Amino acid sequence: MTATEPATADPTARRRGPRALLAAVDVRLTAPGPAYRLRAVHTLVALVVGLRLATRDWTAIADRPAVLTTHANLAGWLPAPLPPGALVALQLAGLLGVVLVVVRRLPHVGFVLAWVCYAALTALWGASGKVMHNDVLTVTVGVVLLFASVPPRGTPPDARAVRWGWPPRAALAVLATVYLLTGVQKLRHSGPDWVLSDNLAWVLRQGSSPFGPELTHLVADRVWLAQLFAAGALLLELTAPVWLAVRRTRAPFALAVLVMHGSIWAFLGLDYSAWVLTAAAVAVPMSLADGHRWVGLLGRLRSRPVQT
Amino acid sequence: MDDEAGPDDRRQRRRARAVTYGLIVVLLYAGAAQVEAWPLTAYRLFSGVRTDTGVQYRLVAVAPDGTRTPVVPTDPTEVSDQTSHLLPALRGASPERRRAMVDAWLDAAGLDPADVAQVRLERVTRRMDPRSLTWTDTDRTLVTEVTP
Repeated sequence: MTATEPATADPTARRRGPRALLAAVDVRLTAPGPAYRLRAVHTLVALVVGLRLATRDWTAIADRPAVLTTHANLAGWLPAPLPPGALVALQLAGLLGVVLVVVRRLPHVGFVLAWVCYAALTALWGASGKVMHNDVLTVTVGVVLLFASVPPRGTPPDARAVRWGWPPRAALAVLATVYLLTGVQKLRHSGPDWVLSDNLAWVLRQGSSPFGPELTHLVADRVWLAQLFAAGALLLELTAPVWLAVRRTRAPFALAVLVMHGSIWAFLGLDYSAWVLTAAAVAVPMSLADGHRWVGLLGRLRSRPVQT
Repeated sequence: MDDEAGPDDRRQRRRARAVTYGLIVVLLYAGAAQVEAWPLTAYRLFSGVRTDTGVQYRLVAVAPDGTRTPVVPTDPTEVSDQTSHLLPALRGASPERRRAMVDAWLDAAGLDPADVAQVRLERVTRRMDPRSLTWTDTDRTLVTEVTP
């Protein structure tokens, strides 16, 4: 355990090329980190899981007949259909796990419990023949935190160790990889036409905006505007690793993700809130400078005199 | 750096590399090989180019007198709605499985199999009008027929 950042005199710094870059990434990944940062990311991701568990009627899964249930997923080995009672029990067990994380009583056990229940329920929810992506980012980022050693109670928040440094950075790396993949697949399957054709205009027209068709027409009938939206989304996805590699651009990335998924909801009615919340849960704490903590920020806000 | 670290740091560095690089390799492989085994996915979100034309599979119940009734859930939920993505799988399913699937969809639609002579799976090509945002069928092909 050490209070210093990784050695900057590392010999890789003098080398050039991809191997040097990978070595530099490895040094940053495995450097010691503060206990408070892992606690923040661990707790925030658990809260996203809790929110998703609490705000859905999972018993709808029980209404799907066994013959219309697919098994090519994480929960494919479970019998179908599970009775409503078993689904509610999974939901409550997952929420109990989230509570354990938040109150820091057996936080690792709590996170594993919450993740297993959430992953099982979302896998069952999507076992109808179409891959559902709404919760997959949260589940995937959560995989990293299953292997994290959470600081035990009594650990000084500023204590630093390798074991507390790598999990939030690994979560950032996974987040970056997922967003990069969504962009790469657009280029792979559609090429530049994804942006340069009237593709997005037709995506918007074929969606269902909660604000009615006027909003759809506002953008879809102006091809240049739809192309601008498409270019912005693709650029954000393809450059996610760059945004997330630099501390100061992590919070703006979370904001950009909010704008992108928020507009998807406004234009198409599709709920990607779990992606927004997961990106924020990882990227925003990791955007704070060393020594800046959520608790400290909240404390300073509370201690401000009330102006009348 | 590992040479100077204690055993716990060395162990944690090994774990960090295994988890991070391992997960990234798995994600990239799933993307490259187009794996779809949730939560492993290729992350194809709106990745195809959309045009004014689309293709849809539809299930239609045909009564003995020839009356056609679309087979759609009477009380749709997100879970039941998504089972329509299994319609193309009807063609390759065994006769027993086809009947079981069709019976399940008829039940969800509140239709009595006794009142149905045939259930037709149709592949419908349709075109959207950009002003009214409504679809018009332009072609319909029979994929398979099932007797419930």
